[in-house]
Amino acid sequence: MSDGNAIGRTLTVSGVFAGYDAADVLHDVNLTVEPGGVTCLLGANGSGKTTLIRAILGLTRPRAGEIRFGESDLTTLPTHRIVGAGIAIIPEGRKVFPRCSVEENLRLGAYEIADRAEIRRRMEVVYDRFPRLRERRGQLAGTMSGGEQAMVSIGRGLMKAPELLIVDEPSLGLAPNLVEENFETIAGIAKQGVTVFLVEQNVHQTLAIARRGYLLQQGRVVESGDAKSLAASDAFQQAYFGAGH
Amino acid sequence: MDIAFVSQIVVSGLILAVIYALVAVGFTLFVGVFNVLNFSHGDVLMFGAFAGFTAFLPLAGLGVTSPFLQLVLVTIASVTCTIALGLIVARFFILPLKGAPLLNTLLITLMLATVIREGVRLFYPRGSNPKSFPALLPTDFVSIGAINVRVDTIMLIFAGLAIIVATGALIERTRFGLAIRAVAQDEETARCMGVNYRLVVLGAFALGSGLAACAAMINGLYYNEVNYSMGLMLAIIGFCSAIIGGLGNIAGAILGAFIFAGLQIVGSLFMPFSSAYSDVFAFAVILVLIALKPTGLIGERVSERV
Ligand SMILES: Nc1ncnc2c1ncn2[C@@H]1O[C@H](COP(=O)(O)OP(=O)(O)O)[C@@H](O)[C@H]1O
Ligand SMILES: [Mg+2]
Repeated sequence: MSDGNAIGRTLTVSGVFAGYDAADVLHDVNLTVEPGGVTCLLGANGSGKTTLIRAILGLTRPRAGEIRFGESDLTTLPTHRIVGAGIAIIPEGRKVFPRCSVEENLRLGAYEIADRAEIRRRMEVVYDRFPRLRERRGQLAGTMSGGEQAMVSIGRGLMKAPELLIVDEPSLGLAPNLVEENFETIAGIAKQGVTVFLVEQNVHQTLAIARRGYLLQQGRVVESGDAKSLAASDAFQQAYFGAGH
Repeated sequence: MDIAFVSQIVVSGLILAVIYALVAVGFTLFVGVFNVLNFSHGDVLMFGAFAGFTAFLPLAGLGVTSPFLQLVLVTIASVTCTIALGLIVARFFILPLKGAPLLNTLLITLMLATVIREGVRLFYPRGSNPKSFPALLPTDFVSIGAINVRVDTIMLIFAGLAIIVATGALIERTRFGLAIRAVAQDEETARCMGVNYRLVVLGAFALGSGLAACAAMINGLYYNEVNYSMGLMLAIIGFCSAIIGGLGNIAGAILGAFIFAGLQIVGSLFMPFSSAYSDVFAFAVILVLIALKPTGLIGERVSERV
């Protein structure tokens, strides 16, 4: 598997306005996540990254605009149908089900699958990636450490065997050594052919594994391009280093 | 107090506990999946009792005279009707209020309760009079040592316990149960896993209402009476039981039901002259329990609900 010319569907966000109650958070957001590799979404706290992901997943309905995955229009689909289309999410804050065991959390990741053998097979793949989860399979997820919960959340996303994996700030709140591990895990998942849409605050580590990226500022895409040109852009330099060119 | 008298009280306490538990699990399910205190639950139960009673009336005339067959048909009618009513409540009155203020859903369920109750009272033939529910189980006595108990009582207790255990297994062991628990813990994340939220809410209301029908049947078969206001007290007690156990927690709701029934027994042992006093005693103790442990008896160790 390689970056570059993977076959698969493209996620297209066009002209999306979305927000909560009174005010829009996203203003005319356009972006695409092409198949293969890591596409990243950068932006300061509160710039609307999570809101965009919520819009893609149908949790916060766009007020205007369109979201497509390949041929399918996701804009008005219920959330369970959107993830049924081959999209999995590792949500911000991990969001493991605290009173479910590790195994039940993983089971929920492949909720729409009824075939027990297939579920078993996918679980073994996850356990091979995170042997710690195999040891702790019966433990309630809510009693685990932050690092272990991150494994549960990633494993649960992988249980869907997704075509597109959306990851919202996976290293938020993790110890520095675990952050490093986390990036390796995500890069590894992408190498195996899963398209990754990664939202992150750790820009350097993110750009090191991303192919392309977007910079979001106050709900608007202000810069986009491949990782190198994005890092070199004025908007990026200004946002992260305050350098006025 | 002789042993026969005490055992009689214990047995009727067990019956009560089983009935309360079946009602309380419904309350807890509804809170789990929709965060709604569904006060119409007791009157859905009453509706189930009337549906069962009504289904019984023509059976003898149709040539169905075997009490066993009658029981099966009456139970099917009762369960089907309550599930249908529960689904209507969920589909048309609860789900549309998604995201509405909590007080609005509360008000809706209170009004629904009144509509169902008054509807039966006004439109059922002689609806305000109690109806005598048939005794469809063997009513002879068996002796266990010095204790004489009616066979139907024993059967009802075991049937109720079996239904409670089966419900626990459904929640803990099946995919549907896992979906209910996931939704109760984190609705949005559950939807992101592929759970069809509306279907889970409808399923939980169907399950809760079906359990209410079971409670109605046990109640009817034991007391041989149904009346239009029977749901009111059962709802309050079922709700109370769910609260003592820690609302949203299935095992807690069952425990709460047994505690409430236990308190009523203790009350009636010391105040045997009137059942009203044992209710007052039970509610008073519950008030103290809730004041002492506002989050319920089963602590929320990890996080909240189910
Ligand atoms: N549930 C919500 N209700 C109201 N406003 C929200 C909600 N979630 C986020 N916001 C607001 O939307 C803006 C964007 O937030 P968010 O999408 O979480 O940003 P990011 O993920 O980039 O940090 C912020 O101003 C935030 O306060
Ligand atoms: Mg965010």
